[in-house]
Amino acid sequence: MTNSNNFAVLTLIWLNQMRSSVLKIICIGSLLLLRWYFLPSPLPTEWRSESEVRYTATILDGVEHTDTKTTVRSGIWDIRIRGYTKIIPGSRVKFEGVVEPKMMLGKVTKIVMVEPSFEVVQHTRCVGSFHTGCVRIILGEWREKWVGILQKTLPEPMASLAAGILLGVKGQMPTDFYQALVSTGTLHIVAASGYNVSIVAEVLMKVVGGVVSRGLAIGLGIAGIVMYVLIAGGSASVVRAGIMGSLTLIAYYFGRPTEARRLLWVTGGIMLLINPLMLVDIGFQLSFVATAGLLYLEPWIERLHSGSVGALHSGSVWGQSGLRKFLANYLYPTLAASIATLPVIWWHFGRVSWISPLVNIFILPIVPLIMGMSALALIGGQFTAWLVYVPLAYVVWVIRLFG
Amino acid sequence: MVGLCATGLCSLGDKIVWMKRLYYLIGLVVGFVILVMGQMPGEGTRMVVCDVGQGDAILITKGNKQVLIDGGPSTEKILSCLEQYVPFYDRTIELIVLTNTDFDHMQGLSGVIERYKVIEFATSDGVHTSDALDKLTSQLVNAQIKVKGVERGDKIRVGQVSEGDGLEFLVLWPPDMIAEYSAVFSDEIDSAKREQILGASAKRGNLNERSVVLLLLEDENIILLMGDAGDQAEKELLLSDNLPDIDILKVGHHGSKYASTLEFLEKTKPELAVISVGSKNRYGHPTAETLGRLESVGAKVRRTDEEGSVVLEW
Repeated sequence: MTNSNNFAVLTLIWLNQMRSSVLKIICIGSLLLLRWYFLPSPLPTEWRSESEVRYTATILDGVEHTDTKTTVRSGIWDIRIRGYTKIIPGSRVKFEGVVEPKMMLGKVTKIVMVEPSFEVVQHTRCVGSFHTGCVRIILGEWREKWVGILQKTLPEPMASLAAGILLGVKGQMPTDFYQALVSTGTLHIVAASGYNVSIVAEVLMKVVGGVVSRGLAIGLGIAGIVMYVLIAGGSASVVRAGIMGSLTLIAYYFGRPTEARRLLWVTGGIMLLINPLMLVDIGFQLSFVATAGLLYLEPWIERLHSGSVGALHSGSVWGQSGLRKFLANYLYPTLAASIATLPVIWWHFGRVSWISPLVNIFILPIVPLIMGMSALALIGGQFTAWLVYVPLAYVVWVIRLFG
Repeated sequence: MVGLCATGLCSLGDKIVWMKRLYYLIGLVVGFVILVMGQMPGEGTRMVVCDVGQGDAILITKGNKQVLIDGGPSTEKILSCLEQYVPFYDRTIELIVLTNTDFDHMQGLSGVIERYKVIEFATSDGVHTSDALDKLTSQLVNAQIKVKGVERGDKIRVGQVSEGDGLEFLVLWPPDMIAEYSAVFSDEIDSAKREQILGASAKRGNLNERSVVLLLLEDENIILLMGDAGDQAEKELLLSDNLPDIDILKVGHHGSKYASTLEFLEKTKPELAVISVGSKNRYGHPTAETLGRLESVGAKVRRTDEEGSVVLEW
């Protein structure tokens, strides 16, 4: 665990002892401000726009290839190399070139380096000498292999959709389909998040629950969540969901009732104290406000709707549990998350999708089926892939129709 | 559990869960059958000049056989074309022909080889060094696909042509192929030899004139696929005297003024000319000169920049 991780956890334990909520908010706000203020700049102090910058890093994730360029991502660095370049994960690479930093609130939030010169200075092998980065490298290789299986057995954009729903991978998604997901407000289905994490934890707990002790089952559940978060690429949304999921399991172990609202704030606090730059990450913002919408807005919408509809149709269709269940499972959460994310989407994209709740109602009931069957297709081969093509084709059809 | 439920030896709750799963499975199988029926190809031949922007990618299908001539400049666009015109359950491309190694013909093929099983890959010796060539070579080696070099007079057959369930292509150009040049698509040579071949190949002048030209022999239609071949290749083809009267011409080099000469068009007399070209491309393709020549021989022109993918069926 790094120093910033220790600092974040100790701070949160200390805050938890405080009784007044206002005091907690003031303390955590001040800490975040201090953390932001003392955030070091990754660029040299004498940096000018034309200066060449040297950056050396061990590349842990696979690089992305498009038709014209190779993109290497490492922390806030986004390095774009022209053409096709193979960089094996685990390589320590020295890049040198001109950079374009993106600033916000006086801090560098992203650095783009275009067409740098580079040289592989060392290659760390995981066989024989295991190091901490190896876990990420190995899980990254699994991810690549699994995405490869989906790409070999399904046509596009179904393969990308399956990879997105199962693993949150969307690097090779066709541009027009990605735009259709954005314009229909359904991009969240291809971001690994709370739903995926809860499935991973649930399946693991069910499998090992009756065999090992509760403590060990919870330990395995958390290990599974951490593994999934790493396989899914460690994006802000899946990290948020991973921390919340793990804390829920820990609370369950200590026999304490889990209070999701408090967990959300604790998780947000931990993430921001560890990495304050998350604050400007659109994935973090969307994941946080969408979850807040589910926790704070959904119960309110449900009460409001059941009150008005129940009064009008007492004893009619409304009273039937099927429709009530459908609304509770799909309509209320969709509306709550859509309303909560609306300001963030408006801020970043300058437009919002008014048809989003309708499209989501059409596709959300199918998403769990796709996730489960896509996982089966990884081991079941071509026949399972043919079967999962059916719900994928339906979702693609709906998104193209509305997009 | 299924067996127990079938014999009535499980609880009501389990029964409901298994019934629900059974309904899902039945729904999936029914959906699968409907989609298979909907995408099942007919017995005829279909030629799709895919809309890949400024580049070439032509998909020819007959029954369950698919042939791809070039892959265009974009993986995304060629995969989109394949999704539209190849049934989802068919993950095999029987033949890929790469007419030349220009980016706008080759780049998309790496993605196709990565995702589909390719039975045969044919090209000729118009090779020049590029990142796209390195990427394609690496994919061909990974997929263990052997590249076949072709030259004038070769016939490439896919399926059972004699039984009407196959396609036959006659190679019209280039006249002779330097066999060792096609070794650059494999890992059989070391990097020094590879550099040497690519260097020597680049010195041969305009490599578009080494583009593979194919004649598709079909009962009802004769189709000439020109790749990027221009006036020099056309002149030689006219001299060789094996150019028939054709029905459909895939116009050479995206309608460049240095291709589709009047003599060539008067000899081949195409009824339909298809131009694969990107809208507002920086080369000015197709040129007014070429369009004028096509009009003068009475060929109807269809263009991918105007109507998207051009689909011809017979």
